[in-house]
Amino acid sequence: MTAGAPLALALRRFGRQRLAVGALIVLAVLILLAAAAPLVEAALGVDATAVDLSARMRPPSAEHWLGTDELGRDVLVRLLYGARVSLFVGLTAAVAATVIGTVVGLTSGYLGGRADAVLMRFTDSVLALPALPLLIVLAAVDLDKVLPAPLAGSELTGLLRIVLIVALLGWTTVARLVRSASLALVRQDFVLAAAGAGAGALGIMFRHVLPNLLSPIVVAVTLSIGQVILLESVLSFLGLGIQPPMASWGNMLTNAQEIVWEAPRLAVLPGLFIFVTVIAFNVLGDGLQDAFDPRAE
Amino acid sequence: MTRFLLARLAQSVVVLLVISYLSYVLMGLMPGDPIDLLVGADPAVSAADVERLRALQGLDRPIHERYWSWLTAALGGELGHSRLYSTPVLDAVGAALANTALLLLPALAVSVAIALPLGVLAAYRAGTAVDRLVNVLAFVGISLPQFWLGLLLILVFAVVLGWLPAGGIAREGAPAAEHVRYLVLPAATLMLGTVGGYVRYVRAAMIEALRQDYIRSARARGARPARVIWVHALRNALTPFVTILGLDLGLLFSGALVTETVFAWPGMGRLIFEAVIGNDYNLALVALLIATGLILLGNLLADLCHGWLDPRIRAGAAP
Repeated sequence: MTAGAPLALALRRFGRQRLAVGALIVLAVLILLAAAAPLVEAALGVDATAVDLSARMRPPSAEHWLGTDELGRDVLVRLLYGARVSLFVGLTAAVAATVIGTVVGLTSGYLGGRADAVLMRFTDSVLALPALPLLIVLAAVDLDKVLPAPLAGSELTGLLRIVLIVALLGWTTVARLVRSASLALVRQDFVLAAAGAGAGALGIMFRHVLPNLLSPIVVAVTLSIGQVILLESVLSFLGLGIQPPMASWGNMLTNAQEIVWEAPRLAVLPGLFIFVTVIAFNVLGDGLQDAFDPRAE
Repeated sequence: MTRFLLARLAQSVVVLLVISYLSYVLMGLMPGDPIDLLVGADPAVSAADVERLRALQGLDRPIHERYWSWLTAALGGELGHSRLYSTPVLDAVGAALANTALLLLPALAVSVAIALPLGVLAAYRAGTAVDRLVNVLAFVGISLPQFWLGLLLILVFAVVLGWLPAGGIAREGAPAAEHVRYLVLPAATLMLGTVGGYVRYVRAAMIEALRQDYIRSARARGARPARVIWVHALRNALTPFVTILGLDLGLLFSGALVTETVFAWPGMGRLIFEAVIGNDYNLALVALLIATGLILLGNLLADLCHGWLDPRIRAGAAP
């Protein structure tokens, strides 16, 4: 059996799902737009962070294609910079959550018995917690009290803090998925053979079992990106995530409620970007699941 | 069953203790402890005064000692005062709990009432256009940011149409219809934010149930199709669904926090958020723990329902 055959089969099955292919195209366009943000900014001759109180809440025009926000900043360019933040946080936090979840799920599924029971009770406990209030408590911690000054104030620290916070509570779904997938694997002949040949538990888990879990893990990452983007956006909306002047789709909506009477456009657009991105990742994840799962259809 | 119940209770207590310790430590790391606030309010306070005040308040003691004295006081019923509300902490929490229940229960009831038939329909017609349509709608539901959904509903029903209030809560003693008018938009937001996930759970559980042998034998015995679906299969699909509902309570409460904040609904979620933002740590800690405790309790109740719905689960058996 060659490694290429199942992959080619999965690709063919994926290609037949029009919705998932559409989602992939939407995401590709979004990534291109996010990458092009500085170019668009230069081409339009606007500045994403420059406040201009004389140009507050302007309607769309030749200079500002989507108008300006409550501080006179260009909405289109801020949306594109927001895309960078959301995609960066989404991808990194989903990968971080997946790493934690994979280690927990794999250990649980491979060791079984009491270790499995303890780990899964722990996972269930974390899963049952009210995530958002806890994230709010975590996000409200004053970094000056934890980190040395130059680190505490930097933009990158702000980004990574959100990534870490979200990943800390977001790994549970992955852990359950990986556990149930690995349960089926550990009784298979090649795993028993490796154990019989004297391979250690860690070696078997990571060299023999893990590579066979790649497809559920890819699905888990894709599906958790959407969840992570939602969490980041709500924290930023509440003023506890990405801090202005850095644009994020969530913090662009923070003031939207007060100005929804005058400029409804400002309340609609950033949310639309969040929604389209999240649904695209969810549809893509669902499509991948069907493509990888031979029982599908 | 008793042993199982006791083990689960013990586990919930451990989780609560861990959360209380972590939150206590984290809240000590937030900006503006009581001394900071005092210094900010009065520039004449010197560094020596600050040291003296910290010692007086016990803030110079190691964190675990402070946590221990907080915990023993809290277990003795000394929960302290709220800085924001200037009332004993429990008074503020009590009112907020009632408001959250008022928002959450109708939202949850409607959400389940919509999810059950839709999920069953999609499962029964799995693979057809109906199934695909339900699936797409469910995806829309789980992908909508709830705070934005709330903003959109405000935009349409309060700003453009002017039918419903944009937020807040009816005055005490107002007629019931007035209370309902304030409830509609936040409850709809919360409902729409949860129903998509529930539909997917019901569908998955129903597909699993319809695959079982007893369904085939029920059909073979000539049971009417409607009876097979709504009695035989649904009863067995309900078991995993109730468990997931229990596990999802935390998610539901997170949704309530967002909804309450957007609609200025004075419930538990908004209380916790405002307390954290407003440096009201006494209140934040107690409210967070009470919310978490209730969620864990709901979880436990869901597990009990599980045992009641599925007679195969008996004394001592882990779910």
